[in-house]
Amino acid sequence: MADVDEDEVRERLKSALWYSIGKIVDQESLERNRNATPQFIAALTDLVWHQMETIATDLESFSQHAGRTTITTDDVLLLARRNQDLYALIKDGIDKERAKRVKGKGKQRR
Amino acid sequence: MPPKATGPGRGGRVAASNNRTATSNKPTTNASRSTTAPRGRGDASTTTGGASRKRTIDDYAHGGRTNTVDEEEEEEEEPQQDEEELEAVEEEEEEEEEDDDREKIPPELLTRILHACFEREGTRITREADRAVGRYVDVFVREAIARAAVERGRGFLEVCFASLFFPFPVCVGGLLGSGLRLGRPGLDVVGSAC
Repeated sequence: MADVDEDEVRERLKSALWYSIGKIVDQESLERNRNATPQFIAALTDLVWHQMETIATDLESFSQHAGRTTITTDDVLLLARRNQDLYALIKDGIDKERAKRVKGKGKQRR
Repeated sequence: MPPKATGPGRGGRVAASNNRTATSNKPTTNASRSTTAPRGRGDASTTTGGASRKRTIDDYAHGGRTNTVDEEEEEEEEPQQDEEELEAVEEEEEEEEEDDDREKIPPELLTRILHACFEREGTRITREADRAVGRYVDVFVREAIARAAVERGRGFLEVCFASLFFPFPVCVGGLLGSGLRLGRPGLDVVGSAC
């Protein structure tokens, strides 16, 4: 019974993911003046799902290797180690968020 | 002069504050740095199992098993901002507002999927890492579409059942780094003509 519930949950999550990816594909299609078939969206959703499974297990392994049970940004950056551009993109986003948070706290204190 | 609101950041912080109010504030156990006192910006403390308010998958909710933690920065004295820095901040905010206009996978959905895929029950993820993963997946999706569009040239972006014996999946690093096809057994997501 638990397995059936888990499968149902996964299916619903996949459906939600399919919807979101569909919106991204629609937006990109408009920008590129292209069209995408529903099969393309479904296949991309499947691909993203499997990639997320890999990401989740990798992040878990990295954090466990570091002696933690909480995944941090260091683990995510380790995930992107193979591609310098991707690494820089994610690091840049993390740094910007931290800078914004620090500035926000400073304004709050004033 | 009233403090300037950080527009793009508010969305994430509002979501964080909603999560904080929706769930019971329990002291963190595993996070090295985490909030214990509620703050005005709404940085949420750890959310553990047993949320007081239950959401559904349809709401892209965190649900009962979500464990997200804030990486709280050390408290520092805020240096005075020059006008140039203020202008830089404004430019960054404008860029981020443009980014916010772009469609994204909801962060709550991504968190939920991650937690569904974790093998260990007690695994948690900080909010910063959660957002970083969201950015990662966003890049993944957009690059997949871009590669398919470039390879296709014209016409529809389609699925090509070309290679039934394609080796099992390429990791993202290889995908994004070396231009390999997006593939898994029995399925080739490529924009090329079949």
